[in-house]
Amino acid sequence: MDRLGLALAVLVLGGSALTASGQESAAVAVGGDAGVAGLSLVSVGGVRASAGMAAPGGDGATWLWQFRNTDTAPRLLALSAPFDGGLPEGMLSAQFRCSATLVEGNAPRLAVVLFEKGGACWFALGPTAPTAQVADASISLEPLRQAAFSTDESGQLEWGEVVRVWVGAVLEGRSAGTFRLSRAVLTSEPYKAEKPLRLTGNGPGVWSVGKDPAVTAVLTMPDEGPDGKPCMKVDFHFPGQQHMYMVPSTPIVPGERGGFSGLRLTYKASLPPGIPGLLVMLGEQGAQFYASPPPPASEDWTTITIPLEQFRLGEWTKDDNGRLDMARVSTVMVGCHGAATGDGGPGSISVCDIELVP
Amino acid sequence: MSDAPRRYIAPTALLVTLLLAGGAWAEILLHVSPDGRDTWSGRLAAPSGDGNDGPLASLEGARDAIRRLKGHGPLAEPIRVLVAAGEYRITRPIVFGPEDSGTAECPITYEAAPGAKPVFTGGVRITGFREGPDGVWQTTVEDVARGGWYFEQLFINGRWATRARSPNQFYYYMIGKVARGIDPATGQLADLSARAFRARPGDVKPWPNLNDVVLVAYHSWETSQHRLAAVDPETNTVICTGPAAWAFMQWGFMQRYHVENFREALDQPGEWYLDRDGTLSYIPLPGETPDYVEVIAPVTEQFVHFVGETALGIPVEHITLRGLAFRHAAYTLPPEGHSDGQAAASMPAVIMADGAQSITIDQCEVGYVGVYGIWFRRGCRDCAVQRSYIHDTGAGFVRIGEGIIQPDEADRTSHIVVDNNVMHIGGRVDAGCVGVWIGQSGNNQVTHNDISDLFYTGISAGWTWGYGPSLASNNTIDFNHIHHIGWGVLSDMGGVYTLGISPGTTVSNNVIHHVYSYDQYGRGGWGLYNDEGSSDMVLENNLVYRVKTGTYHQHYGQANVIRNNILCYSMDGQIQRSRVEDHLSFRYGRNLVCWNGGDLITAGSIRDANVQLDSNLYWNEAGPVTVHGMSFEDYQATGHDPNSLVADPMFVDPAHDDYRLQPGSPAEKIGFRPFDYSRAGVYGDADWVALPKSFEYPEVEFAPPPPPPPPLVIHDGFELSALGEPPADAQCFVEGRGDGLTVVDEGPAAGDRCLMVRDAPGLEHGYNPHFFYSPWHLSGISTCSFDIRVTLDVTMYHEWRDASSPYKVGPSIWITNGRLTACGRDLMVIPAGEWTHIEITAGLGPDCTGTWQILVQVGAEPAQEFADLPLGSADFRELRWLGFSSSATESVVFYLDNLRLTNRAP
Repeated sequence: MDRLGLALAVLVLGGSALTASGQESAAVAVGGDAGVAGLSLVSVGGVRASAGMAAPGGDGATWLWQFRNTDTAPRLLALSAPFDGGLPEGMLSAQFRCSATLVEGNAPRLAVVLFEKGGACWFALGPTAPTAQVADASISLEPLRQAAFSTDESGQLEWGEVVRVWVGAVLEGRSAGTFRLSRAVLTSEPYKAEKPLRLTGNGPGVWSVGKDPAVTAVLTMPDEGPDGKPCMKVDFHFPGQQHMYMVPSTPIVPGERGGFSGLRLTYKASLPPGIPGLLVMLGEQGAQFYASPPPPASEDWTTITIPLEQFRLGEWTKDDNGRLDMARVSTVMVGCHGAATGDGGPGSISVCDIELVP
Repeated sequence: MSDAPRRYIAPTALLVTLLLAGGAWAEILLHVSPDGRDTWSGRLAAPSGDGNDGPLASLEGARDAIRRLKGHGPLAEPIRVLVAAGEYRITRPIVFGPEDSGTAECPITYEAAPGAKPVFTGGVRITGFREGPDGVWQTTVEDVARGGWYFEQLFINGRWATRARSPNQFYYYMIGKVARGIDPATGQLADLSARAFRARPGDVKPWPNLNDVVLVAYHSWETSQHRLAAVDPETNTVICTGPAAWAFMQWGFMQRYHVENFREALDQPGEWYLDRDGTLSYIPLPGETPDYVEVIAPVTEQFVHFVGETALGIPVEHITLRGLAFRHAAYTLPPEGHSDGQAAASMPAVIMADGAQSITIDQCEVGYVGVYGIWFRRGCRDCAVQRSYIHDTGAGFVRIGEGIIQPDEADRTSHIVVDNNVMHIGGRVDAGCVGVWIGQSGNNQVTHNDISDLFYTGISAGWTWGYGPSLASNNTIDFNHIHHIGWGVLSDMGGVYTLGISPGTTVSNNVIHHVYSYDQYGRGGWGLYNDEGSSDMVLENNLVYRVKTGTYHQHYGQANVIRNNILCYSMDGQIQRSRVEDHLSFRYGRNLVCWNGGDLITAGSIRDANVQLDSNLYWNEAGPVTVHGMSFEDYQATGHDPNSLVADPMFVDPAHDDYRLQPGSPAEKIGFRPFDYSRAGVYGDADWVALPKSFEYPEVEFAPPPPPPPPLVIHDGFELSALGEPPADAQCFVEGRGDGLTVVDEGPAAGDRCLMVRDAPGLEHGYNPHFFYSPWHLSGISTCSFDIRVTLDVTMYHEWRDASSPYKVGPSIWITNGRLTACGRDLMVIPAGEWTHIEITAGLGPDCTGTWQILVQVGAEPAQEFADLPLGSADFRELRWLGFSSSATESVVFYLDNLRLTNRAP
């Protein structure tokens, strides 16, 4: 393939392409003028896949994979483009035009991988590919994750040193179907989430409990959620007249968190007498941000959305900028605290779905 | 992975395929040789006549050559890299990433050439030794003299050589805690409880190279390694640069330690010492001569790293290392020292894998390394270590998984096979390591390994303490031979040790023996040990014999099955169940249990309904079988262990550890099914099977009991204790339900601080809160004095006790509702709100008179003395427990200050 066809092409997408701040956006089409037709296939291991250019259609040149992943481990389908002169700074999102048609399993997650000249490698994983029909989808390039095999020492991506970009999708677990990709553009447009993002992976998460020594708590993972789905359940007891805390927490799957506006969770809770509500917190590298006002107890399963702007920095913790930084959040906590009245009493909290919502 | 357009056919691959068309297999062969160059193609086994081509020189060169091949297109044939005999120097880790992967159809193998045993070494030879007149060999290591290098391990004639240490055998003992003191690094008062202690005079000195001296402290199930920050020869206070995982002397008085790497310690054949001026000194073993000795010092710290990215779905995969030897890797103790909570959990391995699939280590050797051997850490699947020899390690041998549960399933390790390996001599840096460690990982197979000569557990599976989430399910731990571990050095260990809920995990057909623990403080060397939360496991057809504190122990757990095992000759009790819970702990049936003296039960209880023993055969060679002190008949009459028998199982020769059954054995009456325990251990060709049998093991030597510490002297006004904290030097017990032992600044008797004792209603034990000291006053005249300020509703007592069980009481006083009583006598009023000084004196040991005296002074009033008070127990002689307890049932407080304890000759 003629390298000129793959050379860096910065497209200014016209006067309508303004960022939220009113600045002109920059965009780089992966593959340049030739689009995906100019990309080369990344050789796939561990998955049965055939790939090639699809018959021309309304979306122009389109790569088509037919795949069957029999492994429970993720596998990548990707196209590669070299970039001799690096990339401009400030690429914030990648926009795809693609679709996935499945006969088995879940839709793949969109992915971008950036290789620097010195061996560093960074990547971003996004939401799943559209499945109804070919559509636009985007993923955030903030923050980028460094690949385990990356040989970077600087600690951050040097856009000008990028020599190769892969775009494609990660098959997560056993799945079979078709994946189409007809366009991939890196852009300085900020990412806007379009779908909720589950924070605990496919299941209810892996939970542990932090509590006052005087609190007794038993944590289980029964299939007692709505429609019998698995949930986290903690049954506990507060003694009375003393401030107590009981906070189950779960680490959340790393990934992009930009472009979301709220934390949605499905829960039910009964609390000891005198405890006003749930303590819902987001943990950001040692700092804890709590939802204010606290969600109320509820005997029945209920779903609430807490705007991210309602999270306050806990007075007992410190944060370097005092702001909730979703990119650095690594744990979610749903518990309670306070001084129970009288002799105290029992409580129970169950949680089954925790998501970020656009 | 390749970026080449798929419509290309890689010309190089085609050419090589054509060249090999005449062979039986289509594959690409590359060669590596000590005569090679990484600028050559590797297609030739030897250099060409014109010197323009030949073999490659290194594994990295071969890896890079394969990358170039793959650059032309996807692999169409397997690739074999044949490594010729010779020694290859590794100066940095060889990294295999996703681009170095093979495929299932075209795997990549780096293997020894036929008949060759290539050695990859991370060390350098040290030569030029000269024998001095004192018999000590010396040479100069120039890189050390220049300040560019220092090594902490040395390998001499294929042996892990001992760095000069004191004492040469067994231990020194700490004699006093140092709770708070001046941190030498900052000059500030700091908590030094985990960094400092008082040594016996002469054990530790301010040696000239103090920063290079290493102190190894022995806790219960772990050791910690420390560098020294300061030694005060006047107070014999030792301060380390960094803390241990526990406060020193937490596990008991007279905690053990040794010190190493100073010139004075070089006094025993086999020891070496490296001076910073470059002088390497060595005292040879008998028969060694300077002209015929191989001395190798390690430089490199890691050999190989397989690393892929699981989240992206691009693992490193389908690579095999076969027949290669990796030797001589260094470990350097960090400036702050090293201390792990268990199993040397933070120690890396010299061959690491992250994001790896189908990576196989086959018929390799890994030896003389300062850390673990091989670790499949994060996101690894379907990998294997097989028929390999791992030995002489600073930590253990093989690790699987991590200690945390990764939220992303792709980052979890599982389906690893560790089979048919010989693992021998480990823990030479961190004795608390484990032979094979499985963390949060399931569906692994650890089978047919021979694991020996460690100081802690042979195989550990699971890493959740209690009933919380655990990934350690469906692990197969079968047919292993685990033996000669512990050596009386550490405690709380097992041949096989487990944690957490583990459904589907089997521990079967293992042979475990010679498991010996240190039990002076800490306790426990068991053959099979289900520790905290271990649940839902099956342990069957195991042979366990010659262990220290029981062939089977469950700390606490649920629904484990222990059946059809042969469990013999534990030194101290046979079965232990430490905790009674409200669910079924375990079922224990069809086992043959044989021993020589003592009760069936080591500790704990098997008398309740939540443990089921049935159809076992018990035999005590030394006499009748007793259970909880009862005869077996009486025990069975309570309804427990029905259908079990007391009878000689009729082993063929138990004195020589032949546990086959003779014809006519009563074992069949309990349904015992004989199994062939000779199948445990390695298998294969005769040389391989003979290797572990060639190792020799001395008899275990248990350390003598520690000498008694000197009498404890206390002079504590709580001025150095931190506000809000308990008294630093005491053993404190609070229930955390509103009770407390807290240093405060509220109206002390003198100085700025005093101790507040706060009681609360609803405590589980009436004697809480309480605290005590362990004085070790065995003779002379002891005096304990303190100031106390009470309120009217205080109920407290102060008591002297010995160490017997049940204990004997010496002097004892109560203060209840403002009245001081002793020996049942009401002595006087103690006014509320005022400081009262109390002084108690008694003779001990041969100086005991059978009486004691108390002197009480309220405020500035004249002191009142009460003499000739009878001791609580007439035969009280030793002060081993000096305690204070609040025994109220309401929220009350009292204060203590100026606590003193002395002991003098009469």
